[in-house]
Amino acid sequence: MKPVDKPIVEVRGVSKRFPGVPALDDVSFDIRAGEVLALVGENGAGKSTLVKILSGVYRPDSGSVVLRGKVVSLHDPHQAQALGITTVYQETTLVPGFTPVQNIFLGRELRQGPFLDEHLMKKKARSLLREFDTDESILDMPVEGIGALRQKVVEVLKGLAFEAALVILDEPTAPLTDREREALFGHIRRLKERDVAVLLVTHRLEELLEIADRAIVLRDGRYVGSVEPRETGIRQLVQMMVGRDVESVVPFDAGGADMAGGADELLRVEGLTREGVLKDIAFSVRSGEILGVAGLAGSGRTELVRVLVGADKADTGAIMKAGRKLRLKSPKDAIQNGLALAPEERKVQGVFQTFSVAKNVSAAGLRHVLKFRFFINERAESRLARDYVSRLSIRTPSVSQEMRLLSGGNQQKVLIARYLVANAEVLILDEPTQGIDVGAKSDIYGLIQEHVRAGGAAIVVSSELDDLIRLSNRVLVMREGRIAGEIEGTRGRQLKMEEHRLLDEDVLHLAAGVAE
Amino acid sequence: MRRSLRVLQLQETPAASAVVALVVVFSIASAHFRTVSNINDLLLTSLFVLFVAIGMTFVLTAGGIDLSVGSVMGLGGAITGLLLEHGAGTTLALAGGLMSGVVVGLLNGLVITRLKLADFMVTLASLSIVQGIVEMMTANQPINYSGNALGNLSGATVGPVSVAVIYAVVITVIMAFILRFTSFGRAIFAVGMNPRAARLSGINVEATRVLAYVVSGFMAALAGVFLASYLSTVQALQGSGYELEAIAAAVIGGTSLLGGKGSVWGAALGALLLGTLQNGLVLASLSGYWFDVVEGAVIVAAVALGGGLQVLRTIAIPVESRRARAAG
Repeated sequence: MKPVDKPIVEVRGVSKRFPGVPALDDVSFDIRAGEVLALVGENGAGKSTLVKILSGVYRPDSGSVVLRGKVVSLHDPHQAQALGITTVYQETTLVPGFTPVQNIFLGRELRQGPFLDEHLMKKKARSLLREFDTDESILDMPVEGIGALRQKVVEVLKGLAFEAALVILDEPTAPLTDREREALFGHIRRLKERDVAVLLVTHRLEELLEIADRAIVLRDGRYVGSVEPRETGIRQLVQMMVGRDVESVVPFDAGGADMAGGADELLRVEGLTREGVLKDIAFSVRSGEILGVAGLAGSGRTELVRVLVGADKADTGAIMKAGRKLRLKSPKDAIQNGLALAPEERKVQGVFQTFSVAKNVSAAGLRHVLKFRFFINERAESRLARDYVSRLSIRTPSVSQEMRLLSGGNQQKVLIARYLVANAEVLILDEPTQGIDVGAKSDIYGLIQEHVRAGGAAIVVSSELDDLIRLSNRVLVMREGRIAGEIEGTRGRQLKMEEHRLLDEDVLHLAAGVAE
Repeated sequence: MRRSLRVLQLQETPAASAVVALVVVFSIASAHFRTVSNINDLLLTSLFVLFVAIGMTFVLTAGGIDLSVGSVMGLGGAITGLLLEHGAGTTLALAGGLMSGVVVGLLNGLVITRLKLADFMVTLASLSIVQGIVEMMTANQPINYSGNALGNLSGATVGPVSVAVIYAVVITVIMAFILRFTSFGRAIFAVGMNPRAARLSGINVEATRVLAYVVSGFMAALAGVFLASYLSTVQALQGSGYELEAIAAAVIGGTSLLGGKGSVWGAALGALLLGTLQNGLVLASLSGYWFDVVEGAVIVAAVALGGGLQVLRTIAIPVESRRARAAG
């Protein structure tokens, strides 16, 4: 392993701001030919912004990208690709019904006169496939039927059909099984041999030991440093990722540590299994308790909470509320039993955009404002909404304002109000602070604390690890559909920054599956 | 100032202004148009589209579409007529006809939600199936309404107004109330706007969609009985084409084909607009073909105007909000 020392891509002082938040702040680094460089950092550290700048989706506010010694201006993905920077995105960009050949040459088909030169395209694709040791028989099959790995391979080939100097792989292993991952790494090594540089974005730190020559760490949009994972090990990398000195946005919840001490068990889950996504999940939650759920994307966190409210079905296992086994056919049953989920992807799954705030608040608890169980008492509905708008300090000119005109943080508060109105004793929140500003985050953590102080319980799924540990009494860490372990949260306890950092690391280790 | 903005926010505003404008223009242009008997006639001939459009509004708002209504009109009229011919009482015959619409709606809804098939395709198929059934029922002899108890709905009047028009007003008020002020109506909007959010809010999405089709089937059958009574006869094809008229009326009234937005009053105004147009053009002795051309133009105009108002609203509302915030 001796990367050629001349950098093929140099990133020079790149900054990018989005309204209100700096996403990247003066980031500089090099990538050398034949090098596999890993890009790591927590969610929101700026990895995807950086990838989008290199692939021509975003333009930096300042700074420059130097390719083979020349400053280039990357202004759209096609042009970046023509210059030799190919990006394989996390989400597939293949057309499902097209064959690999059709996909690889999509939008830049080879022609002979006015006609497609099918023969030449197929010949080129075949030689590429051979280079990647992939079965040629897939060339004539629609890609929807060839499996996740070969789809990934086709995505990579799509980039390679035209000479690439740098291949960016954004979370390429997320959909793959262990064996497929190994095969992909084989492909990456072959790219290395051809002196192609590879920038690998990944959450699975253990992969770095195997494949990365070097890793650079981003934190809060800043470049923290560069390490050789095989030399330093994962621990130092993790420290670089999480080490930050900001005050927590989680309000300190005095007495919160003992809240659940002798309290009654509200919810108990045993042996919960859903083929392919959840395996043998068991835990319980007491009244007054906040249970955190951590894990990487795809670890089963979201799948778990969806099963808890009957949005998806479990194959086996039991969900018990106050000792009684629940039969949940739909979220409707869950709400009637005091369990409700404020889902992730607020816009897609939560918000009724053109309903008023009042209608959004009452959506899950309409029965409280009905006359004769059928007729809506609009005056009562408005009163109810006004009550929650003031209690949760939701910023809206009136409860008749359309929901789409509220900010993300206020929309999230309205959703919490919706499930409080529904009398959800066990309030489940999936990524409640996604994409909202610091002030609103703090408010929402406060609302969760208030809810459990009043005798309820909360299950909170979040990628904001530090916040989650400070908010929760206990944190379950999920990995590959199982509970990988449990960490004590620090709700209501004063810990030193250093102790917090250790807890963060413990969770990350469990989530990534790295042995101590 | 703020009140005038409120009016802009109503989705029925474009259709209402268009109806008023047309009535004014035709009244000036034709002395015959503004006679009481012509207005009564105009209302009477708008009823059929009105009923179908109201049912269609429920389905469209819930995010579906019902193409089977034209055949269901024939079915409702035929079954009621047949029951009367065989000596059933008026109530039983009417109930039978309306029930047939409910059954078709129920089947539409169940097939769509259980088999997860496209609304458009399923109702297109049932349009054809039901039409075939009605053709079998009416093959040998068209069913005659002229002698039966429901044969004179359009003739009966209270003062200058047909009894049928009074029925129509009552039914429209009831349906508008159901869509706007009941938990069922609220669920229709929620399901059409965001089915995933509706489900997580504890709404039974499938049942809501099925019920929307039931309402549509019921209203189409009702329209069919009225149409049979008006024409004194039932033929298999007499409802054909009404599905598109009804969709047009609903859309003119501000209902969205994408779901989550709809108004019974809007549909009523849309039906009235189409009826006024037809009536006025006939009086202007333009050929019936012109109606089709003008109807198309009106639909485009209504949708464009709706979009324009949407833009105005987006500009106007933040201004209003800022003012409210400044005041508070």
